[in-house]
Amino acid sequence: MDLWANLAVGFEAALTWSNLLYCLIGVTLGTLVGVLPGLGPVATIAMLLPITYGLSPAEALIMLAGIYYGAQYGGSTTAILVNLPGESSSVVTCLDGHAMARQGRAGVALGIAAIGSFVAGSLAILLVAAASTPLAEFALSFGPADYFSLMLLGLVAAVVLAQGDLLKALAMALLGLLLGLVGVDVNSGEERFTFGLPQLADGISFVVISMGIFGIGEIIANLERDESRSPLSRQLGRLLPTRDDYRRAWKPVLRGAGLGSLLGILPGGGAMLSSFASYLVEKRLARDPERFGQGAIEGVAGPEAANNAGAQTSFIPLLVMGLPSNAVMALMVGAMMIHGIVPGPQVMGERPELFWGLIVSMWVGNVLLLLLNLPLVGIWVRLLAVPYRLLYPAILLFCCIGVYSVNNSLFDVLLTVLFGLLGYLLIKLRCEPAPLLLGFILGPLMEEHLRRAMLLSRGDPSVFVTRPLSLTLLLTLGLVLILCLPRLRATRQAAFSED
Amino acid sequence: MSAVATSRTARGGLQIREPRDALAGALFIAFALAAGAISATYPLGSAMRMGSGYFPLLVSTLLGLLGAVVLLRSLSFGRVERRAEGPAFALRPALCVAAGVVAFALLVSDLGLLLATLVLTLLCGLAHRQVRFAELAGLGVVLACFGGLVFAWGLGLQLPVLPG
Amino acid sequence: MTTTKTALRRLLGLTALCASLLAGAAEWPSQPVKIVVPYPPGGAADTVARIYADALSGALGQSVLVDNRPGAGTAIAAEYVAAAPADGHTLALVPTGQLTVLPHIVQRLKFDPEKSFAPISLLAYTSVVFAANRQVPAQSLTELVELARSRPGELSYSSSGSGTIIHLAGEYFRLTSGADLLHVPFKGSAPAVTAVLGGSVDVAVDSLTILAPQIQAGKLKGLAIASRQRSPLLPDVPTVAELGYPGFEVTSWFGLSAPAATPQAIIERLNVEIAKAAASPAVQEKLAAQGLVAWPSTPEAFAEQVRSDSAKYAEVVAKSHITFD
Repeated sequence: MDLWANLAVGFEAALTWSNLLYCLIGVTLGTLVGVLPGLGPVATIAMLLPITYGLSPAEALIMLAGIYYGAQYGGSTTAILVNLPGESSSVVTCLDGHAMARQGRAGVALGIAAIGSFVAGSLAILLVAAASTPLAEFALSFGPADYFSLMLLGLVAAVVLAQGDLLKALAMALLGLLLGLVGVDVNSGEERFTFGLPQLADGISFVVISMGIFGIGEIIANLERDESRSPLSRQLGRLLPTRDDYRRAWKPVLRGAGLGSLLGILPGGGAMLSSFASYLVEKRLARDPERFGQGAIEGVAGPEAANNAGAQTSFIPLLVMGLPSNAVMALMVGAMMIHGIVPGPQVMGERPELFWGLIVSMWVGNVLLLLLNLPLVGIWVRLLAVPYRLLYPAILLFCCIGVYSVNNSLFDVLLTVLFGLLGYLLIKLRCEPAPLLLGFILGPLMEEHLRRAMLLSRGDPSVFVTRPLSLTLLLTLGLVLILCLPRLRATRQAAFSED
Repeated sequence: MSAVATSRTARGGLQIREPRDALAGALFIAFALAAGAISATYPLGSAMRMGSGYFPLLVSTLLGLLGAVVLLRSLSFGRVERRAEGPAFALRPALCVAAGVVAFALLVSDLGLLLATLVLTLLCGLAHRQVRFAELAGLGVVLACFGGLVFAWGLGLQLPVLPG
Repeated sequence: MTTTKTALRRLLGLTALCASLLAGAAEWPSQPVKIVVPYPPGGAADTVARIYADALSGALGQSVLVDNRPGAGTAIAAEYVAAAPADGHTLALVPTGQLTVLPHIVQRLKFDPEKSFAPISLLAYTSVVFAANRQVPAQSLTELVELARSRPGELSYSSSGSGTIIHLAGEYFRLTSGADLLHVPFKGSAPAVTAVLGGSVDVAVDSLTILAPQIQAGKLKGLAIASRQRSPLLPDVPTVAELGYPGFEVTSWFGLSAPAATPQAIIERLNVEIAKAAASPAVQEKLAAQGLVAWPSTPEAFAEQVRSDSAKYAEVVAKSHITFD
């Protein structure tokens, strides 16, 4: 079969010593920047881009790709241990992953995240190898109306999966949407909500919002509690999942892999949307959904599998059509250009050793990540034994350096403090910050696609229900809403009876 | 550091049953009004060619409505059996943490990473109930070394390490 | 009184500055030279900057670095360079729209397109190409114009953003041919081309760099190229001028400028080194792989290119009512 011949070419290319070495360097660096909050793969790859001049094209691409998916592994570590989303795709891992850490099951959470990511990553790579061309065609058929409906679904999903009050979660998502609109409007070029500050012209960076609200805000809220009620458990607990854990987790991992693979192909926020979608699906399918948010292993396994699968399949549009679907992929285009490779549909035919070598190297990288991460779980978990009074200054320092290094900007750090205080206020008012973060990321995209869809339909809103893809997504949205109506009533009752 | 008193005996008339929700609702309404007022100054355009004010105004309106529902829901017009506890704000952690981070941001470009880290550690350390200065100083030195090694040297970030 | 004083002080300061600059010029470059690119890494502008930076590093004996400062439709980078010390260590990669389109649509720019910069040389150019989705029932540009006339308000074209040279090319053609085409802006070339591949938009307007691979692979129909001659990359795609619109030409060029007060000696040295680099087969080969052609020039020719393009696009902006605010 063609696939096996192609994979053989790939293995031959990926398993040379130099390519293996650069793969290892890439995933190690990726894990490191993923673990350190605020530093992300985008900044790292941009910094390393010039260095790749000296490497062969295959070495360069293998290393840079390794940084990207390595960061997805590392990001979950920070989310689980200190409740900070190192990457936008690990926002939802905070919910149950950190709850597990508080119960002394940090090792299990880290273990299942690594194993789930590996399984899903392997499946997604097989999918990339086998079906990238038809999948790319599918992604192409998404029009602006379909994208808008998809994001609306994603946003509502985030609201539904938030803990606590549905209405407040919805309001938080809308607040996030508004914050996302700060900066120059793409269509008109007009500055919005910038108060004349040039530093706001390009919008508020994700790092500023997430480090402010999840980092500083959360730390202030933790500090007012007693040491005895420290958010981190002292127990190290088991390091590896039990048989019961595996029994609970294997289905979510497979479902997450499927969802992530599909959503990862779509341009814009693929890995993040898929982790949110996977969480929602698991919560819906669970027999006892109230465990979610209280440390349900399914809530870690599914999303972690989904975001890693999404990270792998987001290479499909780049490799098959030469079109980058997110900032990291745009940098990969840059890396290919540096070496005189014009990304596009012709690469697969003209440079098969490069194309298949890169794909196989992603699988090899996943193996390396598993080997790298499982032994490290013990070390990471030991971090939890450090008293909080010593840990939080370190977290604050990493947040500061992470934010500062994005633009070397004093303004960004000050803005982070402001969002930290706002975050603290919102936490005290029992408003869930996760939907705000998703709204923040989706806001500009939703507006862009809404405007484009309405422009192309000449102002006719029926386009959202006449396109089959969009209609399907909106019907799913309706179903989700109907399913959670009982919960709305339940929270109302809870509001009456509780404290 | 004061908590709003709990479970006062209920009287008739307008009551705040859920102070957290009342505050949250008011906060959402305030954001919505501010954002809506600013959006209204931008061109609105038409449904086909939306101006830069169309979408933000739409979102602000929705946010305002939701805020109003959250606020109204927290009120009670009759007798209330139990009144929920209001939020208590801890000023010391908030101020110390904010001061530490601001100090870091102001100092890092001139004094370098090492000294800025020390100041950050000490100021943020004051946020904790039990302040142990010797321990904090030690932590500051360790973090400064770690930060210098990992971020400036290892990852090659453009950060000044020493004063200058 | 006070105004005379400040004027005097400024004059003194300026003289001191000039003196120090002249002194500095002798040993230029004394530190790494920075080329500021107004886009994120990865695009054509970035590639051009990196190819020349590489060549200049060797020639100048100092490292030449690329500094990406994207944002505000390239205004952020332009303002940064305009305010940078004029000592030859900070240079600007100038894409076409920055000095020829942006000033016509943004009112409050903190730089003067003619006075804030000292042109050094043009570096390279690429042409603008028109391509259509395979389902569009038009085999040529002429048929597309007829189709647009017979079905007004139905056809659309995508651009990499409002106010870019690509958008201007689309509007320029719309005005010249009278074809009714709806402009749909995107955030960059990749999503703009994807939308045409998927069929939600009918026509793609973009640079040769972006569209050549798609046309070569048969994914899009090449309609025309807005250059004086056909491109060797797409020998079968006719020029717009050939098809009955003589003189229709939109070139997306990239140039190198310095802050206005940069000493003449530095400008001349850089101009000579760029001409040498542009003549080297290695540079030409790297550029050609991106659909770019090396295009060195004198500083005067660069300035003239800015003036003539600026006049041309001012008219297009006024007629098509492109506004930013």
